[in-house]
Amino acid sequence: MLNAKLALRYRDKQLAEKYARYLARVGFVLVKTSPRGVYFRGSPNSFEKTFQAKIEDREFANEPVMPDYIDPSIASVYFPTKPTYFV
Amino acid sequence: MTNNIRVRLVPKTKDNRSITVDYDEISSQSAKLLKPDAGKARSALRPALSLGISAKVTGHNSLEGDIPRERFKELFGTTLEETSRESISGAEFSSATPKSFTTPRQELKVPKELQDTIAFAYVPTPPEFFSMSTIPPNVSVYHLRLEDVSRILEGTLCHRRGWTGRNIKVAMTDSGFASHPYFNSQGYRIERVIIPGIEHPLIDISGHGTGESANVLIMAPDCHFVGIKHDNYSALAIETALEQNPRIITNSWGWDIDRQSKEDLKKNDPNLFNEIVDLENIISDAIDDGVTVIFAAGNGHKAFPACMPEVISVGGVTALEDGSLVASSYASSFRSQMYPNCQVPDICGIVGEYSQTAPLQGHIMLPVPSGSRYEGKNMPDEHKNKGWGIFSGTSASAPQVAGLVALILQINPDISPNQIKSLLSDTAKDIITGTTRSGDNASLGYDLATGAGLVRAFKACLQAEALSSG
Repeated sequence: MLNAKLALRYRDKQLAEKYARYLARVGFVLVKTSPRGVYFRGSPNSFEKTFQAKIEDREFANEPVMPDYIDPSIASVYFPTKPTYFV
Repeated sequence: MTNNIRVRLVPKTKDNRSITVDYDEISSQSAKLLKPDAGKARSALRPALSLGISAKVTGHNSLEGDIPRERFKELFGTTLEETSRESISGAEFSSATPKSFTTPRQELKVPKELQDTIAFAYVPTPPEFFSMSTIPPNVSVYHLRLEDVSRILEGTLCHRRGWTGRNIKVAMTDSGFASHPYFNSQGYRIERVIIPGIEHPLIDISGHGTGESANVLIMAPDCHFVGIKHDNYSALAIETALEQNPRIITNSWGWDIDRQSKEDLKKNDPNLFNEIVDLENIISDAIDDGVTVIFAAGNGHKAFPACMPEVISVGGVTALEDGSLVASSYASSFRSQMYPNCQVPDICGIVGEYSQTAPLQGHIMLPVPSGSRYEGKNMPDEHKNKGWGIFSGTSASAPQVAGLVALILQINPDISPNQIKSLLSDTAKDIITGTTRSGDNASLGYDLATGAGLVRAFKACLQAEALSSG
């Protein structure tokens, strides 16, 4: 399972919830919905099918395409990247 | 009871052998000969993910990840049971491990999709750790105790005036926040937020969050501390922190990416670019809503989000054994390429020195869970297992400043994040010697090495009080 976020360019909890319902409908597991988007997880196949992009090494190998239901001008999708702790 | 079960999948050797069937007795020699094959680990990754296991390849060429509890029997052919671990004769259990955990009833069967590559699978059993002490061990390495940090930053003077951060909510996103007798003995108010699907915040395998959180609490002993486990899901951690309605969020992490413009980052790593944009938005929202957001500058890194102009970026000053203060040779300083005209750090807290050889000087003795990665760090062997480690980095200085901001907000709750940033800079002690890890020299006045200098809590609080009354 891969963790991901559908991020909104502005705060809109209702829109995030609408997109969350869509992502659940197409088979993703919802982690959390916030005014800034939807945290969700799914198999590489689910990502490849929904976002029409190949997954390689837990990343999109080419630019993901938003499904018709999601407005690409206000949303983007990404896989979280491990940060460094500054110890 | 957690919804996910952690499993470890150990690949076969390059020539398809398995340590479980090819040797009756395991010795260090046979274990070496039967080392899991890295290629098989990589090959197993995709089918493992397809089976619903959130697997990653570990440093030892195995796969480790979580699987939803409801799919466990279907995949591994055995059911699960809960096992409790009772405290033995009053010994203090480390919170590096939970008191109850899940074990399989029988040996795990490797799913058929993985049988070509995986030799065997198991559910890791948390080990038991003991012997954490309330009092830090007495070691010969030059280091600071938490009380020294508070004294140098003038926190102690503030506490005597009753400025202790009472009831100011400070959130910290980090690796976990284990319990420790040191925290219990201080009577701190510590809350841990559980995020569904994320490991429990009491579990802190590295000890980083547990140790560095002590820097907040020594500066603001009466604050309401809220720990949010990061688990590499940065935006989720910060948004969860914001839901707790804190006045301050402190973060001792980042990405070493401010070596290119944002346009170049977009071209070179579009996935990370999208994450950065999302975090920028979340952090800007938080500051607009009156939350003071603090980030560690990095230890020679060029760190985002520390480079964001709106946040307070915290670098390092070392307190030498003779009492003098110099720019830390461990901490970052840089001009941002992502945000032209922005430089890091804004101000500094206490950080030790960098050296190629151990032990490092001037770092801080911090409480960590027994068995964690930082237990015994930078300490002689005889003191390595006592629930303490000596470390700092800007991971320490950022939470020190967060604690100071809690004092300011207790005195003047109406002050804005921007005013706080100015106030910290206006009252900082100028640092005029020393060179940072990035090679910048401290000098008279505002400089790249230390920004405005080392924060001074008492002076800052007096100014906050003056603003409040006038």
